[in-house]
Amino acid sequence: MEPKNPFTKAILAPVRKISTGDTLLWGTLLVLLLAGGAAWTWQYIEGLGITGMNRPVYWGVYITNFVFFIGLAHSGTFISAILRIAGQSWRAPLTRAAEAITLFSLPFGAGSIIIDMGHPERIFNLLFYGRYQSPILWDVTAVSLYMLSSIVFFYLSLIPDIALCRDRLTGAPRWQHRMYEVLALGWNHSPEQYRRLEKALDGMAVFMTMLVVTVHTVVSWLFGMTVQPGWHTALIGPFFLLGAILSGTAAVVIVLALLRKAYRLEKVLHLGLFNSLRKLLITFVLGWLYMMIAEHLTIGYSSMTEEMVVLTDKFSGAYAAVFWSMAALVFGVPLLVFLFKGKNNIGWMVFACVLINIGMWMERYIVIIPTEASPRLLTVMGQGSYLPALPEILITVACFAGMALLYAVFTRFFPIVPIWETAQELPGHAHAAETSPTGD
Amino acid sequence: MPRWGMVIDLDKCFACQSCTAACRMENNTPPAGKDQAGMGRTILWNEVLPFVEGEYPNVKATLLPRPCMHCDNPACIKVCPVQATYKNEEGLVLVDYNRCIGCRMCTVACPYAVRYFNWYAPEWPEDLKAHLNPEPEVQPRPKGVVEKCTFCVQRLRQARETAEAEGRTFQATDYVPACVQTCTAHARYFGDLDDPDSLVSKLAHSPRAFRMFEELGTQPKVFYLKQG
Amino acid sequence: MTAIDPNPQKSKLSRRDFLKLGATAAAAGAGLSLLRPTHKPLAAQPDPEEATVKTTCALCPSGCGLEVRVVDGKAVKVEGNPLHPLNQGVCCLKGQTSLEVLYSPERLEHPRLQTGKRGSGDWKELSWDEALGLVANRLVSLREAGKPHSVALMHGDLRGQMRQVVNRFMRAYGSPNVISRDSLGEGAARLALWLSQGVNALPVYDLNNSNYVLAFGGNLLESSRNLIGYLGAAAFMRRGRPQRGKLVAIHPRLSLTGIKADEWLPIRPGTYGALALGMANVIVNSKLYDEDFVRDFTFGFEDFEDAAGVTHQGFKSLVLETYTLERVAAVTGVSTDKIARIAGEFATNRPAVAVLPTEPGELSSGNALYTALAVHALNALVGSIDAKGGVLLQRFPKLAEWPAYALDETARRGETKERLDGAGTQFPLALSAYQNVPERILAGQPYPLEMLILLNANPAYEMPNGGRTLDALSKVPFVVSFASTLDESAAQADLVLPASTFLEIWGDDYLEGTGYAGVSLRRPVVEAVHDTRNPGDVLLDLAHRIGDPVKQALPWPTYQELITNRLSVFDWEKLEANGNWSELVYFNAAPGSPAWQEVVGRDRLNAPKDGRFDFFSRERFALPGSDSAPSAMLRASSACLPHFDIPATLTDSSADALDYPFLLVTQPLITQSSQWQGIVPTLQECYGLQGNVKWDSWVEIGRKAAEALGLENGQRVWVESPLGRVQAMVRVYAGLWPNAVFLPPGQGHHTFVRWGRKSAEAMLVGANPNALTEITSEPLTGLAVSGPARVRVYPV
Ligand SMILES: Nc1nc2c(c(=O)[nH]1)N[C@H]1C(S)=C(S)[C@@H](COP(=O)(O)OP(=O)(O)OC[C@H]3O[C@@H](n4cnc5c(=O)[nH]c(N)nc54)[C@H](O)[C@@H]3O)O[C@H]1N2
Ligand SMILES: Nc1nc2c(c(=O)[nH]1)N[C@H]1C(S)=C(S)[C@@H](COP(=O)(O)OP(=O)(O)OC[C@H]3O[C@@H](n4cnc5c(=O)[nH]c(N)nc54)[C@H](O)[C@@H]3O)O[C@H]1N2
Ligand code: SF4
Ligand code: SF4
Ligand code: SF4
Ligand code: SF4
Ligand code: SF4
Ligand SMILES: [Mo]
Repeated sequence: MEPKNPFTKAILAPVRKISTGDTLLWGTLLVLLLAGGAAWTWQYIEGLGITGMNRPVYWGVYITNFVFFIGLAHSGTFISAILRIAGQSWRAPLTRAAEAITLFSLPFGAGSIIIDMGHPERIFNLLFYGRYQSPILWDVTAVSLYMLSSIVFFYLSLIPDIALCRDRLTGAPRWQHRMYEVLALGWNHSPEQYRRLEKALDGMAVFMTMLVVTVHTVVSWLFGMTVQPGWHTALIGPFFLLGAILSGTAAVVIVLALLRKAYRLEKVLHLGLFNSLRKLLITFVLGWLYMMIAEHLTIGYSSMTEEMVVLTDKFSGAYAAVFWSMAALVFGVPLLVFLFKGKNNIGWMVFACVLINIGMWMERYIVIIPTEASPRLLTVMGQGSYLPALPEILITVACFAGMALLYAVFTRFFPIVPIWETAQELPGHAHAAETSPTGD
Repeated sequence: MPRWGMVIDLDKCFACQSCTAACRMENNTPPAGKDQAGMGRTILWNEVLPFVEGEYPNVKATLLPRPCMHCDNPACIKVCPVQATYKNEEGLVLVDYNRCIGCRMCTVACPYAVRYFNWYAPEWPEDLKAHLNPEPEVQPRPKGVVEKCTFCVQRLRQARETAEAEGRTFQATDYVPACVQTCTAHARYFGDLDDPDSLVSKLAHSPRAFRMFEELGTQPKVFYLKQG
Repeated sequence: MTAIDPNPQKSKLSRRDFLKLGATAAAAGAGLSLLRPTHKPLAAQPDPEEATVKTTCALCPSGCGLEVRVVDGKAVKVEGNPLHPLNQGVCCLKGQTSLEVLYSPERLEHPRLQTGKRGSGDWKELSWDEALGLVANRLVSLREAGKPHSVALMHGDLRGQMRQVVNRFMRAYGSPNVISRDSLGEGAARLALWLSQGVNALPVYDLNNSNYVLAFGGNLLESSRNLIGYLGAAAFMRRGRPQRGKLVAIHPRLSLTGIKADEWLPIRPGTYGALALGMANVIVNSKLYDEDFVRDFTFGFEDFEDAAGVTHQGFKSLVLETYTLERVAAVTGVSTDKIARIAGEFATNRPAVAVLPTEPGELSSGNALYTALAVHALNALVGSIDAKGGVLLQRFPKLAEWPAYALDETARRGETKERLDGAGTQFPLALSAYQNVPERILAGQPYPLEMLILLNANPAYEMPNGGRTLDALSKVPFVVSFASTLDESAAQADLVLPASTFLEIWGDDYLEGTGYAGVSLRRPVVEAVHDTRNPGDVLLDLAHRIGDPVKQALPWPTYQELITNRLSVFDWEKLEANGNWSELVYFNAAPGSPAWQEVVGRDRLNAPKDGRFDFFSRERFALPGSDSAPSAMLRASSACLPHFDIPATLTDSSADALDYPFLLVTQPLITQSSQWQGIVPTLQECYGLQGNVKWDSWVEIGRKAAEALGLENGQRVWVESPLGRVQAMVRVYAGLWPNAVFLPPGQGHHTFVRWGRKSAEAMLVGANPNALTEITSEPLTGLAVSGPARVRVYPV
């Protein structure tokens, strides 16, 4: 039974085969992931001493990764929830690809917190003795809620397509087919089901949008709620949020381009999508710049002593190189690319988006480290310093590898473009919501 | 309930660091060793902090002994996600080493850089373990938790026990932390801040008294007396 | 190294445990409560055996009373003894960390014999009996061969009765060669007091009652001989009495004393003497001195004519003519205004006291004695000799008599031999000249040395001397060291007799530093941790093995008995209960009173005991000529007055100035514990306060100089003198004389415990500045001249 939707075939194509390329890729990623796991075991046995963290820089790349991955996670929610509410129907083909980023980066974001703990096995103390005055608990709550609702949201919108796989991929191995059967929850493509699904998704979108704002604000409050120079600003919440959406959206571009290339989805993930994302990204980059200026100008203008230590450190001191390259990577180069090169050119878009994400990681780093290196009390005692050590590098690489691995594997088992939603939106396919996309 | 507090007279303190050493010997903080000290991982609950300003020959230096401030409104307690750091009934801010998850939020939040993280399991060469203080409260802390000045809480218990054993009521003056006892210049005072007649509360109200970072609202219970 | 199991601690919060859902709601499952951490109750321990033992610290010359808490036979905490008049219950960081000395893994555990070549490190452990048999045999055979004088004993700090024990031992044995380390340090102050005040003693400063303290040198509150007393007194001077005194610190570097002083007076290194004389000029010129005292109780203030009719210049015209403000300002780099103001303040805020460091240190540069005389003269000008708030004289208690002993023929012959170090011959005024020993051994003068005993002495570290000390050690046929750790010199010895630490032995200390008489008892706090012995016991044992007359001089079988016997004049029970006995009052002698004769002139040999303080040293003047000392210098009358010659190394036109632009200042830190420095981890972790340096040496350099050289904080550099170079970390420090650099002494021991996780790297901690300094002797006094070295600094 061939799908009527002419794109269904293209979308389902990747699901059917696992190539040698895949095995190679998965293998490599798995090795990196295991290396990280080994590093973590080592760290668990020896203690956090084997990292480069020290006094006064108590938090290093793990917390940077935490903020970064949570930020990255905002891609999915932004595309499917916020744009859904805003009625931006062009986003449909992107939703799953974007949500998958959310889903697969969240564990590494949340996990980074655990990796950073001196006593990870005491994680359940959060449950037994959790104390709501602590920003960490806000984080834990917000992130777990976010993770939970992302899973639900993602899964709900995946059900029709799982059913489709169940129905179409009859040639799949038994266990795989069985998996589809179970996960499809008996979906039979009835209009009523679709109506309910849409309703549920609409409702969740509102909730998710609220969550997105909360989550990243709360993440920023991990820092903002302390009285340390450079962190203690009301702006830090929106600043982090905007950064998150920026890096998330940029990540969507990268992933889409990769999928498009790897799985030959040129028609589904058409140029138009990239052009729409480009406009969004221009807005976000400018918004981010605004935040950047607002924050640093406020601090610089008022020139409070201990604040200035951190500020000068970023502008012209030990962290100047990182700071200014970060500014160039997040703002300067990408803006130029988007304005002059990016239109109708996926290569340039991807280039700029990669820069943005490298830059955003650096931005997280530059928010966290310099403040710690010059805490209020120690400024006169001399500068603290920090460089990540081998285990931290291995674990960081493993986080990225793990995320990529999950993503890669997922795309071989499930359609990465939502067939049922896309059907409504793709050119030449006027499709009524009442009609079942399978058009029996 | 007494409200324990400390006063350090900077006019009398000569920065000898005896308090620092006494604290280590009393509280079993482990030696860091050369490479760890190089990473700033030395654990000294009481440190004398140097602030050197100005240019030759007009140099102004301040040397500030710094135990935990045992703040009335402590930043560390607020941020601790598992109530591992807590204030006891007498206002001592303490850490439950069995509960701390090692997230280091408190180390980041404490404006006085008072909290120390155990990056590794504490180590002493076998021979040196002989001198460790056997009191249960100061058993070496495991790796991965945060520790800090406790105002020598074990001495409070010991003082109470001694008073009881001797059949008299416990007096605030029975309880003296190690750093206060050893202070070579008698520059440290300790006692009940709520008792208007105690020496500490009188000194805390002296015109020379100030607290570190008063503007942060942490309300430290360690007062300093200005030099000069 | 092994990790210690954390003993679970009871949580006060456990009562308020409650389950919070929501946060990790997703994960919350029914079985979770199984994972809930449980709080083990405190292990019920049997009541440990506990005691508090009083003893006396020996880590610095102060000698504080300590109370050591001992639980189950282990010393676990040290406190000050509240009943000790010196420290009154407080205790410095070295006393606090003395348990890290006691239980150090670096301590030597058994006597050992170096079987391979000297310094080869091939050791064989011996029993005490074997080891002492070896030593006794040698001693006896040398004595029988008529060469007892070819045995020398070099010693460092000796406490209480030990100095006498050593002297009696060597004298009865037949050797004049008891060579004290004094010439490296306190010797200058001792000599200055003898030449001016007529007492062979170290000055005691009554800061408690002083209104104005002028501290020459940076160490009053960091490493002075009576550290603990001065810390307490300085605090009392500020806050313990109605009138606040002023403390001025004069030093090229802003030391802790300088930081905490009311005023820091930076000065060109090595020019204290000129400053003191410049101040005297101001005080004399404006007639601010104590005219009555100077007229009635001093000698040599005015010009005078001696018995032979020769006219001599007096102190007054000397300072007025030669030490004019402009000249002194040019030499010292201190402005004329400042000199005048400080001098004026000093003279008008009495009682005032000028403090000279007891250790001339690296800046001595050949002027140590006259510098000390110049500083001490200020005290006489303001009438602060034995006055309240001035310079006191240390009194000692009368103890039980030493047993009489008769020297035999061999011993008598030995006594008349020239000393190995040249004290009394090569250096007419010297009591010992420690630093001269290597040269003399190498030259085989005055006779070949057959055996050298090192007692609390580590000459190879204290004065590396460009390697000549090591050469000298290897030239001596038999070297014995009483070391507790394998220090640099012990590593070159044939036999090491491991010494117990002060916490394991019987002993005593005089209550030095308070002025009044007293003793403090030292007793074992714990059983000897290793197979070590009190060097005192070892000497008594050897005395018995050698037999008379040595045995006659030291008849006691154990050092404990010696101590109980010597201190038997006191109520022993009280002594044990308090840990000390003292008079607790100091009676200042009114000038001219009978007691005054004790304070001024007591120990004069050739000068009249007329109760006059000598500005012009009559003792010095009466010194008979000597062949080895330059005779012109001896005869010149100016040599009897305090004066200041600018040393060659200090002038920037000196030959080395271009290549080695900086003057090296070194000064012991409060966190420094001489030889123990290397093995006390906590001292390392408190080490460099101003620059926050731990487990390392640093070189302080001024900002301008650092910028000119392109050096940055934290950078590793070589500090190089013509003699050698050492590595250190740069600390840019504003509190430093512009063309000086500072390198603290006390680090760079080779024998080091392997602390830390990266063992090999941690072997050598810091650098020994002595490796940069040539060490010679002052011709007259035999005091060490060790600087300041000229150095250059460049990146590694
Ligand atoms: N913490 C600590 N305390 C110690 C010691 C230690 O190692 N650590 N060592 C102990 C020992 S063995 C000794 S001998 C004493 C020494 O104690 P101090 O007598 O205080 O000697 P130093 O600490 O060497 O201080 C010497 C000071 O004198 C200055 N100076 C140098 N040359 C002259 C000069 O010609 N005239 C004058 N007026 N001043 C000069 C130097 O700049 C330096 O600051 O300290 C004892 N106390
Ligand atoms: N650059 C520089 N060099 C200096 C000085 C300086 O100020 N600057 N000061 C000089 C002076 S004044 C001095 S006193 C010396 C200090 O020089 P150090 O050699 O550091 O002095 P000590 O600590 O006496 O150590 C000598 C030996 O005695 C042993 N010892 C020390 N104390 C005890 C004890 O209580 N019991 C036993 N059994 N053994 C002990 C040690 O193990 C060691 O083997 O350094 C001199 N060298
Ligand atoms: S012990 Fe007393 S004098 Fe010494 S540093 Fe500490 S507070 Fe200051
Ligand atoms: S000083 Fe820091 S650790 Fe101590 S109570 Fe205050 S906030 Fe907490
Ligand atoms: S490190 Fe421990 S004490 Fe500090 S906030 Fe985290 S759990 Fe609480
Ligand atoms: S009060 Fe006790 S724990 Fe706190 S610094 Fe002083 S000695 Fe250390
Ligand atoms: S001052 Fe000297 S004698 Fe007193 S405790 Fe310290 S090291 Fe020992
Ligand atoms: Mo000395």
